[in-house]
Amino acid sequence: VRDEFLSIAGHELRTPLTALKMQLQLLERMLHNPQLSTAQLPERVGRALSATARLERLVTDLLDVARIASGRLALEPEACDLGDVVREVLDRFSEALGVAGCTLSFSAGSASVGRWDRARLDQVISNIVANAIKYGAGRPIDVVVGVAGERASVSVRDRGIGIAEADRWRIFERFERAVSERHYGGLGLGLWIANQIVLAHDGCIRVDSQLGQGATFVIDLPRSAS
Amino acid sequence: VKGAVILVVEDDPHVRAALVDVLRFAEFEPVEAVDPVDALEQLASGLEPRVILLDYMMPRGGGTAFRKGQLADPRWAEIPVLMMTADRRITSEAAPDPGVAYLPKPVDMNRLIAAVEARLREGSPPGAG
Repeated sequence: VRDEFLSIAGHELRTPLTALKMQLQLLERMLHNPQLSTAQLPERVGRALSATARLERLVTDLLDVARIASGRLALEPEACDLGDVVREVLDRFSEALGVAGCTLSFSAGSASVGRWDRARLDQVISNIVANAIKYGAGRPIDVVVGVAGERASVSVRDRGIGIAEADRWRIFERFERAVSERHYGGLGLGLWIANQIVLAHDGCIRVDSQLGQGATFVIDLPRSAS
Repeated sequence: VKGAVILVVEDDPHVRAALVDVLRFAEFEPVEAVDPVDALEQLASGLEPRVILLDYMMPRGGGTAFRKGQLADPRWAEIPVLMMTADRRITSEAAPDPGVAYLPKPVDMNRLIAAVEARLREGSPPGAG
């Protein structure tokens, strides 16, 4: 598994690196040849930055795995509203939702305040939402934030390819995913990291799905992390 | 070779955009395909590229599936192919498909332009015909 993972990781890292390198080489040519038009400069820089952001996400995931595996994931809990965290994540994904053709419905009831590591929670929700877009087949996505007594939850429902029952246990494992990496890309680490962060908050992630009928992920958290 | 049509078959949108930018910069005319099925459909609908720039690892069968479809039709079989791969074991000297030239990923802009020009000069893949 480790060798296969390293080979996938190498391929995943090289892909944005390829885009970044070529954009930088084009920019270098522009710098050295003042006669070339600079009209495309903003677009090239934008593409280089977007490839850099993707590299950054991959490297962050790899470092998180190392941190979690060695027991060094330290939470920094603070008072925050789960609905606000989810709203921020969804704002950030508005363009990606549009590109994927997914409409979004979001509802949050009364205040859902708790003590959580806000940045880590943002990471977990971002991962689940990104997966809903990635595997959601361009269909509507529903996000609901709820509170019940001392617990708060976020549920993210897509109507995409779904997850077969036999694969459901695997998706939270390291280096695993239910579909071939050649079809969807990525390191297969996101859900494992998300689950570890939620477990560190004494919470859990549940998934309900039928193959071909989408998936619902529910992040369930106690309102004060231990 | 100015304006030569180059079919770019690459699933990753960032890499595809960068390849297209470089090819345009070199004054070729790139046409994009997102996977092997899309590429074969474009050929079937009459696209006549002078060179095909092909990613090796892609959805829907990858570069290998494209080659299979390409070689099955005599109209396309001799279009020169330049295959991009991150697998360092695959080179033009140690090639699993002797009909194509290989370009290592991350692709270098100058090497890409030189390789496309070389394939254009050859006009047909080594070992074909």
